[in-house]
Amino acid sequence: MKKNIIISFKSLLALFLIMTGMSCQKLTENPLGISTPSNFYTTPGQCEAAYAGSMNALFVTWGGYQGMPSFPDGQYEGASLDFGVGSFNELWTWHYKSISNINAVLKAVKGGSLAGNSAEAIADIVAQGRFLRAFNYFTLVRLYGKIPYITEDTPDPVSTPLTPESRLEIAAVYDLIEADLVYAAANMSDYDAGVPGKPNKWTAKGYLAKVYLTRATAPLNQTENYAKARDVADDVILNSPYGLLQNFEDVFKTSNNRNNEIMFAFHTTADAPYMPGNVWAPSEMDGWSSGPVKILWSTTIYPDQPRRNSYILFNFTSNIYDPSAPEINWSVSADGVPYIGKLNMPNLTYDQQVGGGDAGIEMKLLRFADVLMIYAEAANMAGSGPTQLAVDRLNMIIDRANAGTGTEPRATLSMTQAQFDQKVIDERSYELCFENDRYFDVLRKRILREVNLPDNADGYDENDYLLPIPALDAKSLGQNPGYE
Amino acid sequence: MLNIMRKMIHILPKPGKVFIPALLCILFINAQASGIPGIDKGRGLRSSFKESNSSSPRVDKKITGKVTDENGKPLTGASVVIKGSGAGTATDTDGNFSITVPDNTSVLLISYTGYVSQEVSIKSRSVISVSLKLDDSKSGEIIVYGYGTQKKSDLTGSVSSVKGGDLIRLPTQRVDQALQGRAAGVSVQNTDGAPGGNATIRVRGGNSISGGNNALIVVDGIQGINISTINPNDVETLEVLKDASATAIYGARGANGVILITTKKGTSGKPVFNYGFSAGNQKLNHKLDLMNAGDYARKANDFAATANGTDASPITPVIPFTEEQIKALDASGGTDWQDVIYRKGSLQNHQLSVSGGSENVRFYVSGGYVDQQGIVVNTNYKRYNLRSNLDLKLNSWLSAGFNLNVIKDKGNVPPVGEGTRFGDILGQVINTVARFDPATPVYDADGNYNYKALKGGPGNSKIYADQDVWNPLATAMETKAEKNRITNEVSTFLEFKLLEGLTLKVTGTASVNNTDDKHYYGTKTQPGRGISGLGDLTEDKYEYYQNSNILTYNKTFNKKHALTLTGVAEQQLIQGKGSYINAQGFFSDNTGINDLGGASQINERYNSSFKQTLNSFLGRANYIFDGKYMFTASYRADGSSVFGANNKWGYFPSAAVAWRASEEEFIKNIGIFSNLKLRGSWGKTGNQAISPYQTLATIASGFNYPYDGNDAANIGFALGRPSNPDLKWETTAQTNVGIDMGFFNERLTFTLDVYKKTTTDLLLNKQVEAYTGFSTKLANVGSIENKGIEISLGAKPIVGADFRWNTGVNISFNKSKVLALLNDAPLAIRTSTGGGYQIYGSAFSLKYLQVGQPVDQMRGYVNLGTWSEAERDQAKLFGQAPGEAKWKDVNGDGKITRVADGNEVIGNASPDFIYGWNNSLSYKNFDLSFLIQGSQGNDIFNAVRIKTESQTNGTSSNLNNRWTVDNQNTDVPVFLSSRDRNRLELGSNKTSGIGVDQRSSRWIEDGSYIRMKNITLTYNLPISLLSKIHVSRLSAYVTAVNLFTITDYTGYDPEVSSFNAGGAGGMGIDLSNYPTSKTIMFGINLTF
Repeated sequence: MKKNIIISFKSLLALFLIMTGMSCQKLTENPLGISTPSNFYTTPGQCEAAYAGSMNALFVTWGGYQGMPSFPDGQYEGASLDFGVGSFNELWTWHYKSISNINAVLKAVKGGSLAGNSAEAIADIVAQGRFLRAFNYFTLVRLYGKIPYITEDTPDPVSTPLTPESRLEIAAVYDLIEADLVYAAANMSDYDAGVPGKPNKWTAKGYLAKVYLTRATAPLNQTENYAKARDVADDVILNSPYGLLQNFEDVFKTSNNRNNEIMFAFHTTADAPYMPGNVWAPSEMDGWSSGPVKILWSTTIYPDQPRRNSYILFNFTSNIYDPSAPEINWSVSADGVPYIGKLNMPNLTYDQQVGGGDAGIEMKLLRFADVLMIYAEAANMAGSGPTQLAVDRLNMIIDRANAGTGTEPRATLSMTQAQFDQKVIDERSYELCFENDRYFDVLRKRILREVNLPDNADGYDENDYLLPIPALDAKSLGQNPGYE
Repeated sequence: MLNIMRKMIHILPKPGKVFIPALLCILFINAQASGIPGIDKGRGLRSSFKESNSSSPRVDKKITGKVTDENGKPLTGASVVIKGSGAGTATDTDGNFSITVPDNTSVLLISYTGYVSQEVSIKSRSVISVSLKLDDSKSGEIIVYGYGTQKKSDLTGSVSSVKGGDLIRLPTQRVDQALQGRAAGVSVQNTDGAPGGNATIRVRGGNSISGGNNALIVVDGIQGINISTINPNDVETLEVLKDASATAIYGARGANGVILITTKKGTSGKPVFNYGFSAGNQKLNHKLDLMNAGDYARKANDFAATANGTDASPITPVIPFTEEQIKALDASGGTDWQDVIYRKGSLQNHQLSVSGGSENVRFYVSGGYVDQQGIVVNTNYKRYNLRSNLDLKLNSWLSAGFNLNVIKDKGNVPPVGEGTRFGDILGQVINTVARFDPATPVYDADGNYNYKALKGGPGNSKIYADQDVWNPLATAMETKAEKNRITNEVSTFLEFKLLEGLTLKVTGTASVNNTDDKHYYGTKTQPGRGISGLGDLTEDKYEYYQNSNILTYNKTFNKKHALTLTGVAEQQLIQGKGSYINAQGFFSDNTGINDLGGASQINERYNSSFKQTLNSFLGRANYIFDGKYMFTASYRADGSSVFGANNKWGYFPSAAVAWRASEEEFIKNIGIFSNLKLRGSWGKTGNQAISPYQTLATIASGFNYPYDGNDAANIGFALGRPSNPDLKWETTAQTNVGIDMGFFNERLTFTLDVYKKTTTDLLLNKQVEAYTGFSTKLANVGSIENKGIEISLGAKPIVGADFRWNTGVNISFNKSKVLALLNDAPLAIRTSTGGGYQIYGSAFSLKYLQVGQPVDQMRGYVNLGTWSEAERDQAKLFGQAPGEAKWKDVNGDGKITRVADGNEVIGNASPDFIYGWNNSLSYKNFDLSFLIQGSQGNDIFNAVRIKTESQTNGTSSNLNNRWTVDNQNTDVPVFLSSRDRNRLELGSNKTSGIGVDQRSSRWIEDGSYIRMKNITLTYNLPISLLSKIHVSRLSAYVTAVNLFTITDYTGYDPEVSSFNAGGAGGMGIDLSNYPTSKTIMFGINLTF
């Protein structure tokens, strides 16, 4: 018996050791039903799904640019220059969220996640990502100045917090944006009517032209970029499949979304993200009274012409639910201001205007008309005054706007360089109003105070040319002057 | 892990080839088995031991006798076994036994748990009386203590022990509910009165904000058992481990206290059968005080009359009820919806167990059945239990055990309260029953439900009642909420005696649970109306595997140095999967969710799976010098898959000392103490609080966007959360000091414990820099403190032969305090919305955590009642008239404005103390036991009253007590006509800033209560009578639960909490729970 125990003991001890030796299970987790950055981005489709997600960060039902920022660009009634540390913080948040989703794709692709696809297909995915990233940073650098340019090579900013040194000089930021866009223009695919809203190499070139033009003006004033802007814009005008629609009325019709003039936009569909039509409408149209138009600018500065009366809603029904209700002028309406015509009937159908569901309102980001004007401005400033082509291309817009009856004078070759430059900037403000473009012109032409005169310029100071960085981020990055 | 399980199953049957036959024999107890010592003697229910002893020589001899303890008290169920043969019997309730033994028998082995076994040589005696000594000369009670056992007298930690017998009286047959009031420091709230409903258990307060606060339940070594799956009849003992010396051995799972349950084992001897039956009924404890239809109609008219415009533009009010209608309502009484919905419920239990065995095989098998028809119509619950515990002594150095517990339960309880999937509280019967208009009949003239309250006035166009509700009977009857659950728990072990004092126990356990729930809201319910029904299906599978390898060394050196060393290597694996589908548009209410193919639309569907592992190594050393000085130190290392990559391992130390002063000569010389022990401990425990994969970066679907610019959006994925490699467990450090005292040979005992727990690294969502692309991440930031005192007092005032009285009182005080939060900013909790009650929402929550304040405080506006006539001028300063609500102007700015975190603390849901008083008296054949239990000083926010006391359509009788010139001392505001108010020229109402916010102190009530939790009177039939029919015990009893409750609380029951799940701050809000009931049962208990 005693012997028995001893033998057993030995064998049992061995058993015990085997068991304890086996007993360590893996402590790493491998979730089956959850996608992680290490098991996603393995097909071009997944990468594009992430790009869709990056756009969703900017434009989503009730979020992002759907609540259009009312910048103090002299066109919104009630906009103020009284910036606080919290003003427009969400723009920073949206764009960096979008960028983080793009960088995640680029990082995975760089790590070989798309191995097995053709080099061309991989380059196209990378090019789309770099285009979208440049698009985001272009907005950020214009609004916030020195910013961190986080890329797929930046150490994970969650675990490696950024420092004030992470903020690059503005010129350095533009260099990186340019690099991204140049790569995108070279490697993105051409326009495809099957995917009319997807960015393509012409979209990238359009933005590249705009970036050059912006570099040429404030705050960098690197005027050598005018020529680059002119040449890239010329390439787009001559060689891209985009063009100017004949009638301005057709540009903003929701039935005509993704038309030949639209090079890039925040798209909507009935499923995601939708936007109801009455958000931007006056009270009489059962609207929410969002986006009131500055009275001084729309009635006094903007020349009287068919375009003005379409882009701005001056006269509207006194009761949208009563077909026989008379039309009234904004001046006798409940809200007492005009509204944005581009976002209301007749660009919307009646059902889209009053229904709670999707109205199909897109937010245009880059139009062929914009590129024509980039060309006009850049060609004028690159040389010593307006060229015939610059004058003609600007007049294409003015002629369409006047539609035979308008009072806006055409541009002429006899204008001085400064007169023509002013003419282009003014024309941009009329044509591109409420497309989230005017404020950037205001910034690069340093006319923030002027456009807010006489009634909204009280809070103005030089620091208003940059927005405040959100407080938590500013803790690690440092704050823009005037908001500390 | 699985390999080991497989291996164990292979190992088990081999020794002796007894394993499977034994199992079969136990399961088919009537079948005659052979070859198994001890069991082969049983020939079914009728065969007595005497008749079946066929394998023994023919010449038999009858021996009778009595087994008592040292004091001469009879020991019931002591085992009397013939040494060598293994056959035997057990003593009856008087300690008597009678055994027929073969003539050649020389020795009987007498044993009883906790006592020293004795061998008695028979010689020529035929009557033998034996008195057994306690295992330890002073107190031999053995306490199950994490990964081992210990004599109670040697404990260094704070442990409350409850005997299984104390748990079985509650007819609900739930261990958690039965634990209430039994143990100091353990708070049990029966917040859900529904059949099969859960109780909330807190050991020494809640530690966590976002993690769980439920104690870890360990049953026969299996960790993390759902306590609702335990049949109280199977419980031998239950221990609550409270201080860190006791809980630290459970490391990352121990912070909320540990409840150890040991189930019954067979004892060697002839099979003992036990059958219990009870049946009875249940009814609503307390009916809400609502108006009858006549009063309601008069109130509706009075209120309607206030809409009379101004002198300048008078309006003629539309009055809903005519005098004739009111007369008719007075005569008929209208509809008492509470009578329609609440009924007399019924309950019945059957419990059957058999236990027995030989020296080498012992078994305990039990089966149970519970059937409950709830007090709300169309609610019911059934539970079937089967347990089989088998202990095998395979040879001198190897023993094994096999425990199986199988439970099936099912019920129909439509969801009520917050946290249900169909959050619309308006569609929930308990809520609407209090709010539905008593003037509206249940059915219309055609026999269909009146879904909404009727309207009154000319042309029946005047709305006078709450329209935002649904016929409660339709809600109750037309909702199907089926719950099905099957639980299988298996635990096996092999125990090797390696050397003298050295044992190795290898355990393998598995718990596999399946849940499948169905809800169907028919076309006659609020959620299902207009959409042809709405339903969902949930299926969940949960698996838990555990392997513990426990090495124990136990040795006493030189009679003075007792050393116990324990080393454990353990691994746990939890995995599960679930699926859910929600659909609407069913073709037929009859088939409903059972025919998913008949649904026209799928609203939601998802599935999930997870896997979680925990590897642990732990050690404990226990050293006792001379029976006086005790030291315990333990250390556990837990490696968990759910922790962040940088914090995979957590370490949990503890240390404790105790001094049994009563063993010192100078204390003995005082001559008062039979026990005096001082204890002190410190240690750390953890709360995993993180669910799987929370530390991993994720990519989530649902971020669609029309990237291509086509008519349908593209699928969009976005980063869900960043990886969080630093995330770790929440840590609780606890210090405990205690004293145990016994006087007059333990006739009087006293235990006092004082503790302080500090929980740090609480998980909270922390804002991260926006440039990261994320908004928040979980971080270990918060801290909460709990401190308290627990006192238990036990006494045996009368210990006569005929009359005995045992009594015990326990009282527990716990105070919590928030020590740190994210940036120390107030944290709104329970911010989910529901039902339009306006007491929460992310910015306007009733419950806020604030640094320096208790966890369960409520914030809001202080209502001072109403303005009296004498205060007319003061009222006018606020734009108010006499009779209107009077608010405290906290900041003195002359107006009452809405503030995100309220103006002031208006209540605290934590009690000052809780207590229980337990008694058992016996006189001859009668036993009486009762438990009085209560809670003192806690506040309840009675949210139900927000609606029932609404002026426009409230139903509460309190509205009859509204302010009038003759009744000014009331907090129910006046019905002031608009014209009268206008005449007073009060100007702007400066109290209107609160708006819809209903966080008013008016709805706070004192939730203190004292209740007769349980009282039982038992009659035991005389042994003399029973022995003739070979029955060892037969008793009959009547028992009552919640016989009476003394409380000022006006809701259904003061034991209420509508937010039960998870973390801190959920207590004390009454948003219509299933009410608890009063139960009266009759039962019998038979042992033979």
